[in-house]
Amino acid sequence: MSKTRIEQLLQECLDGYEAGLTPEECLSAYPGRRGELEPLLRQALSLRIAYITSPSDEFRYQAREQLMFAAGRDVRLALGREPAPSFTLQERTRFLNVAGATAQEALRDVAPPRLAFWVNARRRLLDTAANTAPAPARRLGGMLRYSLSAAIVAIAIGALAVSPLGGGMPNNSPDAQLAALEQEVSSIELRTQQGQPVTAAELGDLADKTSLITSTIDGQDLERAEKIGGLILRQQEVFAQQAATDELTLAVALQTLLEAQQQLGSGATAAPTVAAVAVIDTTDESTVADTTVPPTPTPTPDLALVQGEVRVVATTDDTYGLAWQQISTTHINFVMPESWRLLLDSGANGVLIQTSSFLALETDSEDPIIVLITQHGEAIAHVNQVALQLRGSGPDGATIPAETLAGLGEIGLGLHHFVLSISVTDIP
Amino acid sequence: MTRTSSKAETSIDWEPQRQIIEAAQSGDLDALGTLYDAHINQVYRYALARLGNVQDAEDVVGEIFIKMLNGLPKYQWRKVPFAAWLMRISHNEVISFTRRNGRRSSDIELPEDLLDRGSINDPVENAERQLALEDLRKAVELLPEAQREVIILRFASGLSVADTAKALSKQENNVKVLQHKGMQRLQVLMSPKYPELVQKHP
Repeated sequence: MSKTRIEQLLQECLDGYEAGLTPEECLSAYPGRRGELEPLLRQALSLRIAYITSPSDEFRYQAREQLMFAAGRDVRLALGREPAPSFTLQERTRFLNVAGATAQEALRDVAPPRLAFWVNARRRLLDTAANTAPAPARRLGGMLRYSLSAAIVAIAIGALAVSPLGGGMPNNSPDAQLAALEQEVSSIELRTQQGQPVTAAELGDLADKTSLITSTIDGQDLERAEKIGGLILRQQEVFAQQAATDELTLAVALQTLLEAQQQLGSGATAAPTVAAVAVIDTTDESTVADTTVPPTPTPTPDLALVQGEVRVVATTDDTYGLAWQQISTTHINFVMPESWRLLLDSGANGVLIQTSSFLALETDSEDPIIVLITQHGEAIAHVNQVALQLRGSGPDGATIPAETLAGLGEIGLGLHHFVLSISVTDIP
Repeated sequence: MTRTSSKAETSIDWEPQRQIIEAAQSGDLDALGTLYDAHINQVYRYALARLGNVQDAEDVVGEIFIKMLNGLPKYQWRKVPFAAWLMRISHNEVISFTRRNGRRSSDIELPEDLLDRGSINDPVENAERQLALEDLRKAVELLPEAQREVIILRFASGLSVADTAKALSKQENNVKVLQHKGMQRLQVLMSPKYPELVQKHP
């Protein structure tokens, strides 16, 4: 018999032993080969016995928990549950209240508005509509200060920065584009007068087209400027007649129109960019929403950050199988997936500069856009047109329960780790 | 005794295992837990046998299962036993760990149930047997690397010849030769002190 055959017999003996046979019972099946087989079996069994050991129950449990955590068990369990509609509505309402409170806190030097946010905004709109002169930048800043929360401004500008301004607009002459726009505005007006529903998305699309056309008009072309200015006012009137639903989308569209109006007034033709987020300073009225002021370069320190600087460092963190980057300012530290983007501009030396009281984060999907108030760590996300408070203010700010991230899909994983990582280091 | 021929081995029903693995690949945490439970002892024994140190073995086992999790989406089911794939990860991870940390002192302790396995009630004989098995493990450490790897996968982890071959990316005949040579060398190493391990019954 070949050695291979002996090996096979040995394997059969071992299988029998594992099945519960005694060595003698194993060997008795091969009486003619016993002399060769027995020493091999004895040694093989000795080897098996020599290594029969099991991990402690404690280690077994810990390793299993570690594996399950790495597989995202906790978050997946949470994401597996759909929130009740009443819960979603409650969270949405709570966010809107919180966003207003946040704005008031950020603007504590200014008397807070007593009217509800949307009513106040509508009144300001009507005031603007009554004033045929193009609104100056200062006017816009004041309006924002009184009517829109800082968080919503950030969301609006962030969305504006990433929105496809040219979507659906045919490449015609300015006059043809104006004529087409006027036709759409007339149609919307007619539907509004007839009481037919006009969605916020439609108004947003119209505002985007208006902004695009405005950006192509020369400030010296008074005839076209007057025409589009009139169209902007007509749209604003339509806005004022809308029911107070989907405020955020309407706020974004409103902001777009106001930016377009501002462009007409200043004669500037450049479209607003992401840099707009970096230069909003809610503590200085003269610079609010001033998209023409470039960020001030700040010398790069050796180690310590100075006020306004933002440090981005790659990490070895691989939670949930994602690559994470560490973001630090003088007041706050957190991690976010490398696929996310800070809506900040950098100075001449490449250092990211934060000139507002918050950071706006753009995730790798269209939304959410996240606003993080760096002074106290409050984080708010705008997800599928629903705003959620991810984290409360303060060093021990309450974090959003994992259940609330339900329905967000994979983005929930990134949000979960991001929120838990936020560390407020120095509240001014 | 029922003989299990190689023909019978090839007719193993892989379907349940395939279903569990595919479920784990699709994110089923229960399936992932089932894979863990089915292979934790196998992996732990391998790591402990290779490293000879409980603390190191525990460190490596944790890393092995995380590597398993990360590699699971890429694992392709071709009737290659999951155990062979997992032990290949284990093999690589042990080598990586040893390179990073070196080999520390051995502290393997025999499990309590070992003494019951041989139905030996004599404490003196039990102690002698423990010493013998400890000597056997030390003898395994003296084997050439390739032989030691095969012996540990076969007898510590309990892999079949076929699975051992797949785990080590070797031919089955090569594994059999390495195993046979390893066992022969162990007999030589053990025979002076423990002649009963090599004694042939009449």
